[in-house]
Amino acid sequence: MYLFQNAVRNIFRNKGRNIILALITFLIIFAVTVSFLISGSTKSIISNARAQFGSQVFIVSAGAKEPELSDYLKYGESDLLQKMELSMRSYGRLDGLRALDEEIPDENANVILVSTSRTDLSEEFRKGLRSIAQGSAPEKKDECLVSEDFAKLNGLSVGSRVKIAPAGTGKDGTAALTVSGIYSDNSINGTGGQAGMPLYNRNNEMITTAETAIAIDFIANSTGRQFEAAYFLKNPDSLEDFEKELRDKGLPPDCSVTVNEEEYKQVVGPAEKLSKISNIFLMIVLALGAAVLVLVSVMSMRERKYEVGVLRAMGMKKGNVILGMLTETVLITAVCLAIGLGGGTAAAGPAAEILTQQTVKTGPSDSGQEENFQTVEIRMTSAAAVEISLVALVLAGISSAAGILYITRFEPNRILSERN
Amino acid sequence: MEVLKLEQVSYQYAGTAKKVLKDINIEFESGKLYVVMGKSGAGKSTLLSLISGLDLCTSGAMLFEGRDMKTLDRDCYRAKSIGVIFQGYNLLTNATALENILLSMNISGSRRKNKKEYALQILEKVGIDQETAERKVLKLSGGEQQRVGIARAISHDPDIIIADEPTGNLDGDTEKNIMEILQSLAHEKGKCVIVVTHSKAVSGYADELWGLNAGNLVFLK
Repeated sequence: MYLFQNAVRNIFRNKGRNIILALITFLIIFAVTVSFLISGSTKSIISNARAQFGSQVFIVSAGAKEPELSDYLKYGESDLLQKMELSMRSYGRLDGLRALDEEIPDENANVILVSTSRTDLSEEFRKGLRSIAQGSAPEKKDECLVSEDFAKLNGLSVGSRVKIAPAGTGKDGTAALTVSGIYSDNSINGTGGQAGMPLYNRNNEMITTAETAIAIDFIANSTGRQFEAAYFLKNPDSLEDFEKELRDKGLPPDCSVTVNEEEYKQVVGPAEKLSKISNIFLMIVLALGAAVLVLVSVMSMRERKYEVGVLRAMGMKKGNVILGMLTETVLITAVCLAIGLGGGTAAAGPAAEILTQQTVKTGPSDSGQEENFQTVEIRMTSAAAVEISLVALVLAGISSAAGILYITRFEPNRILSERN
Repeated sequence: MEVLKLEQVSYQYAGTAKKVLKDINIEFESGKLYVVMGKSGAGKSTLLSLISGLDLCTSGAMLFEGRDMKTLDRDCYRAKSIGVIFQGYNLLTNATALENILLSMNISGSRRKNKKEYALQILEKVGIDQETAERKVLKLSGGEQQRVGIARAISHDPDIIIADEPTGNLDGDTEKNIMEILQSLAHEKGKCVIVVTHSKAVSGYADELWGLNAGNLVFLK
């Protein structure tokens, strides 16, 4: 106990020396904290981009023969995938109801069935161009969302039934869908509707799940349906294996399997550079910091040589002398660590934010990256705090060890006789 | 009662052929004040280093309470069994006088209650009042530092007190006062007090007077 008390007193007894030591330690911890956090945030950016662009696989058809819907579904049955997203637009004819902008009812398609496997619906809903005004998004099979205008025209409400039949396909059958909700159109660009052209009016779009759309695929007319499939790999490195699997399943040679590599590189490139810079900065700070600390510590110990001689002459064991000095260093380091972590976190936040914004600016503007980067969290994590604390303790240990090794080479008799 | 015995003790510095101390034989007993006189270079400081456990003899044996010093834990010996009054004081200059005393007591493992009060009592006994005791050693005069050194040497109640020119920086009255304290420690508290000095006045307090000349220790009185 007295060793601890003496160590605390010693810190205040030698204010000048300890302030210099604390200042250097603080600067090192501050710089290390900033570097760690910047490095952490760039890693997070890279990891997000990798997850987004590196794992998202598309099938691009360059030939005349495009795979069928059933093929796309078959490709999605793979252990290498975490999920498949399917978006589809198909066309049908309302049975007993009217479409917006429809003047003379005929046998042509007058309604668009928009489906997606995403639970957060289409991009229009994510961007706020559409919003659910009543009811809820379709979740079960045979559920759909209709627009407010369409519902008003036909007197529909949540729970109403809508029947759709094939238009000009020569196929028979009718699908009955239940209105699960009604959406508002918030677009400022109008409905796109023209009299007599119901398929141009975006409010004639009925939104349903991919599962429903696949089940009633017979609705699609002769113009065909448009669909897009995106496959998400569990591991971005398994692209080659996935392609091989697709070829084995019959993917035509003129269809290519691609990832969003260009966008990935555009986003990750600057982040990787910044990560490298922050890592190099970290290494320099650590190497220079350790060297300066060792130097200061040895100089400080030279100054304390006499004190060590007196303590040893009084019978204090070498181990206790070392323990006392280590306690002083650890106490100073702990205070600097607390201030350095706080200061470093405060400084790293804006720095990392600037870095993130710069990274976003360098990415393509229409790729939705901005949306992703805004979600990157820049904050001190407990893991980072532990790592920085360990670095600080190692630095304190190295500097103390150097000084202590220097001082304990001398016997008290020699120190005191030199002094006297 | 014999506390420390030197048998054929010699000392020579590493790399030199000359013996600084030559075949010294002496027995130190509790309750006596010993004065060792000698000129500069006679080997007084070396003798002091050996007795205080800061160094070991190169030949012969030093026995503390019958145990060879070479086998003893010398840190423990210095902390508990001996109190040294250095000529150059050897105090922690950036600590207060009181802190020096308390630290010495703590190092010795003293379990005494009210250590601070006890330390202040000892300091007062050597002429250091509380106000002075709470000043940094660096701000004390040479005489005051010497007194703090004496207080520190006796603070942990050692068996042997060894003093190197303890009154060198003190005026006549204080010298008398200090020597009376050392004498009372020997005669009343039963300590073995060994004083190394040039001063003839100090030699007057000796129960046994020894002379050290060119490494040879001779009984004078």
